[in-house]
Amino acid sequence: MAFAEPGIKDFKIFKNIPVLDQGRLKPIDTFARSLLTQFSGKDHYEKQDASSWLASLFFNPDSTVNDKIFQINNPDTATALGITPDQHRRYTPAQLQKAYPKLVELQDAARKIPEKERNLVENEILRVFENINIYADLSRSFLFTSPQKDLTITSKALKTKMGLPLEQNEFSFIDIALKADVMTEMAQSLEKKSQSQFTADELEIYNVTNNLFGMSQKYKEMPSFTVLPSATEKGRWLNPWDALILDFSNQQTRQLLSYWNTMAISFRQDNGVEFNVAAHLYMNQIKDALSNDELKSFNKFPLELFYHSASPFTLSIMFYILTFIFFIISFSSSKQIWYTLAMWSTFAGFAIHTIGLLMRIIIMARPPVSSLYETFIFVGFITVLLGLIIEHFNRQWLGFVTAAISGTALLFIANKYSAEGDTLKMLVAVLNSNFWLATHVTTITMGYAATWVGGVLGHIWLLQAVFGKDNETLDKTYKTTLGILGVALTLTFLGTNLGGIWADQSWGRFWGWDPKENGALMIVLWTALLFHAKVAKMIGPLGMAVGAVFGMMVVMWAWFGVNLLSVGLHSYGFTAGIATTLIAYAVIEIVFMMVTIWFISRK
Amino acid sequence: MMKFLSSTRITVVCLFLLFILTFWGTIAQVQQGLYSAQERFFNSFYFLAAGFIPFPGAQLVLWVLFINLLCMFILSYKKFFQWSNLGNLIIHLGILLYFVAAFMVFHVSSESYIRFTEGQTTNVSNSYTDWEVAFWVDTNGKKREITAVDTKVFKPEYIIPTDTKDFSLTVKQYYSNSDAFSDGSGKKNPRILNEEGITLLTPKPILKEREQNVAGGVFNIKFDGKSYTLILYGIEVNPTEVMIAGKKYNFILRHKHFPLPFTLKLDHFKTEFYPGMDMAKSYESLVTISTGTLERQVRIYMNNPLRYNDYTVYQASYDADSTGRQYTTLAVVRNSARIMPYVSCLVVFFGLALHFLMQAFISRIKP
Repeated sequence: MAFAEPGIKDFKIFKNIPVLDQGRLKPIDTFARSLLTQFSGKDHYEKQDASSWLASLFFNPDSTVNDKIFQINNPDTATALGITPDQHRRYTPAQLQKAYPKLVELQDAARKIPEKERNLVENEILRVFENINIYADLSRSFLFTSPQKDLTITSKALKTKMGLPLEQNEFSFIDIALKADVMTEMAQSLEKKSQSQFTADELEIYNVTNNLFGMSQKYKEMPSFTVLPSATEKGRWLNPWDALILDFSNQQTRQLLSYWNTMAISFRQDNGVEFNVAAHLYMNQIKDALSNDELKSFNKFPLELFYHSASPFTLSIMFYILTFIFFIISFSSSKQIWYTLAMWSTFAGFAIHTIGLLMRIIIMARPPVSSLYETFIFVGFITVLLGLIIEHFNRQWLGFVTAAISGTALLFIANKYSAEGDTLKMLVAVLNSNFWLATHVTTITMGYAATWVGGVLGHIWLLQAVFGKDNETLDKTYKTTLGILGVALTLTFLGTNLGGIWADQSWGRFWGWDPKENGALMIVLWTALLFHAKVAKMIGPLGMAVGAVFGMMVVMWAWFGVNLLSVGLHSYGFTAGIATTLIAYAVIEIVFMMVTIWFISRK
Repeated sequence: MMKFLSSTRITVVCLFLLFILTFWGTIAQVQQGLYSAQERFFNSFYFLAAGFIPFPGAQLVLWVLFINLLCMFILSYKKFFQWSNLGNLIIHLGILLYFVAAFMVFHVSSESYIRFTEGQTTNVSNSYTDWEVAFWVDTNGKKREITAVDTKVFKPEYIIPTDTKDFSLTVKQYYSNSDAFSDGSGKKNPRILNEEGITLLTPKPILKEREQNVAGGVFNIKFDGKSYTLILYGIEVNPTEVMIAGKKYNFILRHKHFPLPFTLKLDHFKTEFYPGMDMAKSYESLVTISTGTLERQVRIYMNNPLRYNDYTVYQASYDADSTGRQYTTLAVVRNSARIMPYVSCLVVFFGLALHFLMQAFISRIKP
């Protein structure tokens, strides 16, 4: 039979199991992806997808102790922990387990340092410590499904009485718990006797009961993985152990837990059919336990899974890169075909980009710009749209090239940013008011996009001037830049003021010189300055191009530079990386401007 | 002169200076905190960079920009008042309005807060940063007259003006931020008057988060021919009681109070969290506002403040004391010009949109 192959291949049903995580009901697959991303920076492990790896961690934790899943970026951190630095900067749970005492000591010290003053190594220590603890908690989540030495019953008579399989001696917590009524009955008769009077059978009962209680005490209230709805409290979710301890008398919970048990056992036996049957039954059962709101999210799971597996934005990048390749080829052959191909490839990229954005809106039921990650996606979307509009008027590659460069760059940065974990996040209270979020943030990010496109056009003008394009082409690029900067000024002005109105509505002040407000103001001031300098004849096309490129740097500053100031981003050890990247970017831009200006002025 | 003042080059220079100031003032907030950076870079006419180089502050630059714009209007109105320049005209009229709005908001608005718990009623709000010394005679629940003195003028040997002849009050020390200690003996020193047994205040550096400072004052109080030391500390809950001339006087150092034209009672405070997280999804205060003639209940929550004449009351934050009792903090803003920025923003935006659309249109018809 085809099913007899070792290892379970099919996790399609399992992936849909609902989990409550970070304030949102989500499919277990999303949970697994963000967990692995948080651990290792990748949303899969080697050839295993996230869900299948998570299943191994749950049902057969020992098989994961040698998986290189913990990313430690800084070799100093590894050395400090007494681990030999690894070339791929990833380490196994076993290695960290060994270094655990040292880790505890170091994280104690790091915790005493005020948050803002911690250095890279200290932050990484804290992150690694958190991660290994999460790993340990999760590895115990389904311990109740595996047979334990502490729960040994050898007596045939006892096994028969309890209805347990005779050929087995060690049992799992849930095996025994399911026979709880018989156990209690037998244990009650022991209360009158002293321990020395116990028969062998009675001693076994006594030990098992004690150990059962011990385990229930040890494993209660582990917070990491809340997967079962509480039977008593609407809206509250429990981790498997708590459900087992608190809600076991509830028929539904008991049924759900026994499906988990079946999944666990069949997973360890590599029995894919049984695993999927249990998962399927579980899914049918859990639907009945969900509230209406929860059901609404639950019904979007297939879309979310599709969103993750299709990764639309990666696909978009490929099309945008393709556009750029067609552009390069068009230099050597002026055939119309390359232009047509570029057009279709840009359209394709844009269409997929749009669909991805729409999927996010549907899944989260909110506007698409509320985290830094989402702004990259959205700004990317607007820049490509602007590129297409430019091409509509220009028809000389200008728009396509702008779209291709902007789309690729912004989606690429977004991709880097998704290393934060689950990118579909809940909002803090002040942001959780859809109207202002929709207007202010959308407008200002559109302003970012327009200023960005202005900057790209500035680059193009400078390059065209360096490579000696004719004046007509240069003039067209210049005029387009002016137009786009006009759009940029209008949108950033409106966006900044809408931000003021939002702040006035929520906090009672229109303007408070907050870093983020200042950032937006700087874009407005800079663009206004460029237009006035043009009117005063202080700058010509060259100055405008350089100014537009500089405007792009201002956007970068306003967009995420200011976030670095307060280091309010909880992006695990990523912030420092951004600072370096930003500075490198600024240096490259300045060098680029100086070199091109020098070339142009020599001509 | 006017021609010089109306020059677009001045505009460019001013915009550039504002650009630099905004950037600088943002960076400086990391070290200095928002308040002092704001004072130094934005509210000032000039400041000294690196200790000795004078640099224009944003207020000066904005005044120059305002005059620049005004002169431009006067001198080149002919050029401005053309149909093809309509958008541009609207933009700059809007900016002019913006200046007026900014001036008004800057000078007429004030911010304060109310922090209270369920069941409490208040008709005053507190300053975030300013302190006052207040005293009154206990009247057993009847209407009492409170004297309050702003601490801004306090310095050693300053004699606090009072209407009463019962005692005289002199400042010995006043700290804008301080720590309080008791000598730990548990015995009451009859020469030191303080409700909580504080016997010593030591100054602390002023924090950049100004609302976190706790002021403290040591005073010399003379009555019945004897002099005593009176210590008041900013976070004391109860006033210090002193029997003077047969009357029970109460002294307290507190955030400056502003009387409100209405009374607020907190009926209920509610927080809602995301499932399984301690991140608040929303929080709201249910209050009863009485304005003398009218009494009504209002829900105050994020983006839904209570408005009364030129007062606006916002849900700002909440906290809990050691017993777990929740307090809500409402921000009270008095701003009679609050609609001005809205209007000017709309005008400028309309102008911008019109101008650039017209430009685009014009460049299409004459390629």
